[in-house]
Amino acid sequence: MNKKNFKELYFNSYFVATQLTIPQKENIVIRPLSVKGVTEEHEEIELTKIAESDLTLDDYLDLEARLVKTIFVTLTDIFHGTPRLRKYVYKVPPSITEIIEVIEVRRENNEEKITRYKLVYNITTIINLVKVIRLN
Amino acid sequence: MKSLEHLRLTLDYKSMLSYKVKDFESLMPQIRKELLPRPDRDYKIFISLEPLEREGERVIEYTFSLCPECRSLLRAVIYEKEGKIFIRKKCPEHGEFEEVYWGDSELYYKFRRWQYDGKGIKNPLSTEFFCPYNCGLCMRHKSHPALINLVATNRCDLSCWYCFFFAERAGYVYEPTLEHIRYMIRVARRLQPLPAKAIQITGGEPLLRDDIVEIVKIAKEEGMTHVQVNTNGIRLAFEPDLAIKLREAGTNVLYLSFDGVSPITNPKNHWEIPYILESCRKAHLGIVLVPTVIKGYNDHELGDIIKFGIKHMDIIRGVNFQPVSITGRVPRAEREALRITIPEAIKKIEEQTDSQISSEDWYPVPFVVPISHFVEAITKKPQISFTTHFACGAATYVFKEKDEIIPITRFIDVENLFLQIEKTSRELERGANKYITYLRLFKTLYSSIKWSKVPSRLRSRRKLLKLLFNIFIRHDYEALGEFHYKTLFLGMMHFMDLYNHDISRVQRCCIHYVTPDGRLVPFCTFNVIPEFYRDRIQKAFGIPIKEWEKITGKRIINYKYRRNIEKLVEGDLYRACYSGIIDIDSISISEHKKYSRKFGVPTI
Repeated sequence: MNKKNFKELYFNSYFVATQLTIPQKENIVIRPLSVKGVTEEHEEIELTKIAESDLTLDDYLDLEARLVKTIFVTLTDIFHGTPRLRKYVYKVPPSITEIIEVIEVRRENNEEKITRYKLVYNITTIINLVKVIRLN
Repeated sequence: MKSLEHLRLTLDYKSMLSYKVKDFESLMPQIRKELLPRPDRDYKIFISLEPLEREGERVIEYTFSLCPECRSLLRAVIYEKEGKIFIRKKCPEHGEFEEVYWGDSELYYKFRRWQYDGKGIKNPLSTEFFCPYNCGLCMRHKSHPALINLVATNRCDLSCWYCFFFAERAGYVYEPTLEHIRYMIRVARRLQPLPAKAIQITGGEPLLRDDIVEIVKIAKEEGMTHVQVNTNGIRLAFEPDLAIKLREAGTNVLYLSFDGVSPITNPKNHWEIPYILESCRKAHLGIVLVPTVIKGYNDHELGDIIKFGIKHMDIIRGVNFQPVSITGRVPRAEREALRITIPEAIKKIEEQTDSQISSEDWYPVPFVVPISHFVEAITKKPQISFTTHFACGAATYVFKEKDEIIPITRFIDVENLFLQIEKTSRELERGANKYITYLRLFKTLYSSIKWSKVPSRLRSRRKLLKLLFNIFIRHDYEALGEFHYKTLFLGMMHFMDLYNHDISRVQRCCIHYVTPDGRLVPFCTFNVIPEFYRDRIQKAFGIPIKEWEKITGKRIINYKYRRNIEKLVEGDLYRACYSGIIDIDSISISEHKKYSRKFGVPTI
């Protein structure tokens, strides 16, 4: 997770496309649908994407922790295929106390299943994933 | 091991000899943090390097693995070539490593069909570091433990040439106190959603502990329903009362080292085996034989080991073959000479039993997961589920009918049965009527049995159907026990080494070590990276030999076994035990002595 800096705070969201192989072969695509910040006054603000890049080692661990908590998929699982991975960086204004990220998970085996999840992060000295809610 | 030297300044196990469980509870969280391997100091991460692919290879999947030289994390490719499965990885500092992963691609694909993943751990440690440097268990872990190993001592009465683990070679004695053991068992019992229920007391040689019976009692008191003791059994050969005490304390089964039927292949305990079996008979203490299988050493005796198990089926419950895990740095040619994988061992068994047990009779460990799903669907409670990786193990059951061996697969259509059980579980989860579903399952049970091929004692009055009905529909554990008493379980468990290491298998491991700092570490990280886990942890909690001898008033050397061959081979017990399996008269006393001494056990 991103260390909170008193001047600037950033939130990472990830795009993943790969093939899982066990327990069964399955194409999987994970992408962020929206990233919003919540102020102390409970106002939701769309966060601004300021950069896009490859993942660093810390990002891999960050991504894995989210995947495990959301769909119980590990980094090893996504590397069973040849993953395409991207990191999207969002700037977090100082007024934000909570981040809500909605992601879409498309899984295709014989049929395609699309599931959306709401991931809630609180902001202390770091950004912590505190809740995962399945939306459909 | 700089980190460990630093740690030893703060950890002095002598001062913990009087600690109570609560003291361990408060101290261990900090200790375990110090003991975890650290990036850059202990290992590096090279996962951005893609593994090389070559012409003529069919890529199956990629995975993560370790560098056998520096233990760094690498990407690896698993591929098929010329009917075998291989794993290859490349370390930027130490070059390329290629190893046979599975010796038969056809069986690999059959096994792959039966993978089921578990639901993981609900109270894990954090994922601070990459897998497998974070073991404890962490939230990546997909299976819950089916068996917990607890190392009771690193002392041993033998000094096997290939072992680096026992006290004299390690330089310290690792022997947790009874209170410490209770703490460790409580750690395993705290696991969610399912507390561990089965434990193996192991070593070293656990029977060297004078308080081994107390340890078994503690395991039972703390709620373990299955307790097994992993042993060479030598002490039981001479102390039959100990077998009785172990059984009375609650030991369910002995996990007995048994590498072959002849003195050449089993110099560890060949001569004591008849007496061990007799002690266990008197104690009604069941045995699982555990042969480590090494190519060119004992792989010609796999069929005979099964025949030996069948001959003594009154007390032997199973044989669990363990293809060798190659430890340390071993050149490729040497590895190839020793390496045998599960399908190759299965093939040898087929050849050596005249196809009475064929490769088609074996299934991967997770094949039985539908039974757990079914019981979960009925009881709405989580169940022990063998969701290990399909490549880790294989199993079957065999029955004896006169001189014939009949695998269960010859008279039950197990694939159809288990697919139907899985389907039934899903229907129950969706709210289907329980009784109609049971009726349908009963019909499937009946239609899955080929009655003409059922062994006679299970055929009369449809005994088999009643047993299966009681196991599957009434989920009656006594019926399951009765089933086990009528069969010989054959298993195979191939523990990994640094050359064939696959992190995907680690994450699905069902066999864990509970460590003195309160972690649960998968078998194939605990033993495969001992410098990060087994040795690091046990050294931290060990006491230098001289100090241990001073504290206990014992001499470690006094426990070393010296064998009296003449006495062991004379008389009927030895002869009766091996008759029909080996030609006892063809081996002279001097040859017997030579085999024992060559292995490292002196004779008197």
